[in-house]
Amino acid sequence: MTQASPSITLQINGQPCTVAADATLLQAIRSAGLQVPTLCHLDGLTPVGACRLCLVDLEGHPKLEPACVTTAAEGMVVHTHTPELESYRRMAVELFFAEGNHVCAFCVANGACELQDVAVEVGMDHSRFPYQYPKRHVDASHALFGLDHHRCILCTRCVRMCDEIEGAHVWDVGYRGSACSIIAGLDQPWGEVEACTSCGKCVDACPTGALFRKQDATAEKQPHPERAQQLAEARTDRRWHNQ
Amino acid sequence: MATTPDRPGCHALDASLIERLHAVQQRHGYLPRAELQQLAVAMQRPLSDVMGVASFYHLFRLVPPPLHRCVVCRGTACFVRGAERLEAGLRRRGVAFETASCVGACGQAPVLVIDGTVGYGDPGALPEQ
Ligand code: SF4
Ligand code: SF4
Ligand code: FES
Ligand code: FES
Repeated sequence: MTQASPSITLQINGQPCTVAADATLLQAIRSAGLQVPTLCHLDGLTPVGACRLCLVDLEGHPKLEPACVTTAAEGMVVHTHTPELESYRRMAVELFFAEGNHVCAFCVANGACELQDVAVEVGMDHSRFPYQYPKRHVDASHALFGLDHHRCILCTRCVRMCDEIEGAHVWDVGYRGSACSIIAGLDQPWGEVEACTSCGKCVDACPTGALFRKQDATAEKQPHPERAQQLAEARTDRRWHNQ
Repeated sequence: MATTPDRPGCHALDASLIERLHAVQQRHGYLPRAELQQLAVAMQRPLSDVMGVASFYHLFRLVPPPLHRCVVCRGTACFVRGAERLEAGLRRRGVAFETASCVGACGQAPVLVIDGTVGYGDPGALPEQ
């Protein structure tokens, strides 16, 4: 965002707010000092609108829109925390838990997991949906890292990190429906994919304990979600944060 | 997955990838790994990108097809006329089959397609559940 870009004014939760004309609603919400929960969004990566946690209500608009992929417009009247939104958000988080196998007590990311944080934020203490207990697998073929599919929420942050920041595009989304999963190469064991530079950026981007460093045991994962933004800025704007 | 949708030509690329996957499947009856790898190299695409597309569509087979192909229709008409019992009968006989949702021959329901030829059963002759 340059200084010269034209700005627009909108209203968020009754509060007026001025942002650059190309800003997303999520950027506008944050610049107003407010927040909505997010999972698939990571600053520095292309937003995809996959997790639907950032849904907001736009007055006079027939449906809810994900703030991370919606461009702010002049005169928009935005609500971020209506009772409807709160109940949908809670439901979405319950579905994340019911869909995979999240056993926090044994998870490498326990205490440092964005899914956990979001569950706390939306006040989820149990799931009203039956747990699916899907049969998934763990890929421990990489020398340094592992991928436990049981904990993957398919946010695709790893896919975008590896493609957009590292430029290796090791990951993609394979299959569909309940069989949908993150795949490495031709759905090979990760350790066999020659394109992987072992940089660890996908592990840094993962919001859960799905991607982890092998040396980390229960509750030892140290996430680095900020790295996507730092590297993106260093690349495109030549601004460094690693002093 | 194109993570930057505004990248020029990305949709054109997807379309031609699907065309080429069809051609490979036509030739081999399925998509052999080595062919997927060659295709990715030829198109200068990431392996996982090609595999993501190949594994998404039900029409693409990633494993060799069986000697004979048997498809049970699960469309509404076939369902009403006993497709479930037909499936149960095949399962009991140990016959491997795939399923489809309406093959456009509803008048003959319940429909079974064997090696590309439409056959049909007499609902009365099907075993009870
Ligand atoms: S370690 Fe780096 S190159 Fe390998 S999959 Fe992760 S992000 Fe991609
Ligand atoms: S492995 Fe992690 S970053 Fe990748 S899709 Fe799954 S939860 Fe998201
Ligand atoms: S953060 Fe907007 S949809 Fe996931
Ligand atoms: S429902 Fe089976 S052919 Fe139409």
